[in-house]
Amino acid sequence: MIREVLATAVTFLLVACTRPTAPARDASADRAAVNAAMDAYIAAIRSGDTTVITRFWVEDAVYMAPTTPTVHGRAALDSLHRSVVRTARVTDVSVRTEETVVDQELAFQTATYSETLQPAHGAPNVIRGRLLFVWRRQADGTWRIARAMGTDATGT
Amino acid sequence: MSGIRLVIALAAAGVSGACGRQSAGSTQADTDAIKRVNQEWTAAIKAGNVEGMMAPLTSGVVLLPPNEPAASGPEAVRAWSQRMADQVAFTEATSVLDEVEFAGDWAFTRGTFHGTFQPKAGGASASDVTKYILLWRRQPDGSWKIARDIWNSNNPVPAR
Repeated sequence: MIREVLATAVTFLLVACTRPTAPARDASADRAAVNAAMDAYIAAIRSGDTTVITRFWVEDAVYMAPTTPTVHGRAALDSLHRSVVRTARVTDVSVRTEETVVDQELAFQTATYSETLQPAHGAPNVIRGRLLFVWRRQADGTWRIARAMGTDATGT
Repeated sequence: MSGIRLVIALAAAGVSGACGRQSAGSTQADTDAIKRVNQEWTAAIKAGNVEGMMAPLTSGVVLLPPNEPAASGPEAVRAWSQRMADQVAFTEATSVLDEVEFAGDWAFTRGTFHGTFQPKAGGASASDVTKYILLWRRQPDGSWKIARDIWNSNNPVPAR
């Protein structure tokens, strides 16, 4: 009896002192899911539907665009999206993913992008650069954008 | 190298009051290690110490600077860093680390880098604040190194 109690105690201590490990995941399937989420996000941007665009971001999202201050939170992002759509129409947008890394509940994605914004008056504005997205897996298994940073390489 | 303001980048670290978000397999020691490396990297950037700038980078490191091509691999990054060290001398270089988050053998840090530098070719000193995200990768020996670095400035793109 004492031996059984000791064995149970030792087992408990071993479990308690081991760093937690994440459940095994299918990395290839995860990468495919993240890339598919990016494709869906680009489709949303093409549609100009800001409600759908904003839905791709987590509640505490942080967006760091070039030449402007950091945007914190989905509500502020929604205002930004609506502001952009009010002033210009996205006539073209393309993203070429260079790398997608998934580990546990985060994914890191780098890509090059190009987009054309057509204001109500005047010539279209073509912007291109690079971006890094940090995606976070949600409780339902979907991926949402947690952090994003873009660079402007238009002049290069 | 395009606009001299951009050389301020390498969007390093320094560290003040960042919160760490742990994941399965990461510990407070991991957060502390990244903060320490960050501080050492910032010091190397400020000193123009290229070997110090290279020390915390992975063998597959990629820099994603604004307004110029990416620098992939240690050789390209060393050349980029040497150009920066040749062109400017930092008089101030500090970083505020806003967050650290782990995911298995990867982590990201986000923050801002504040720098003032003097062009070595002459001219007035300049200052800039850049925003950055660094991706870190756990090494086989348990240490953390920088695998990806992207940054941008709140200021307009310099005239060409």
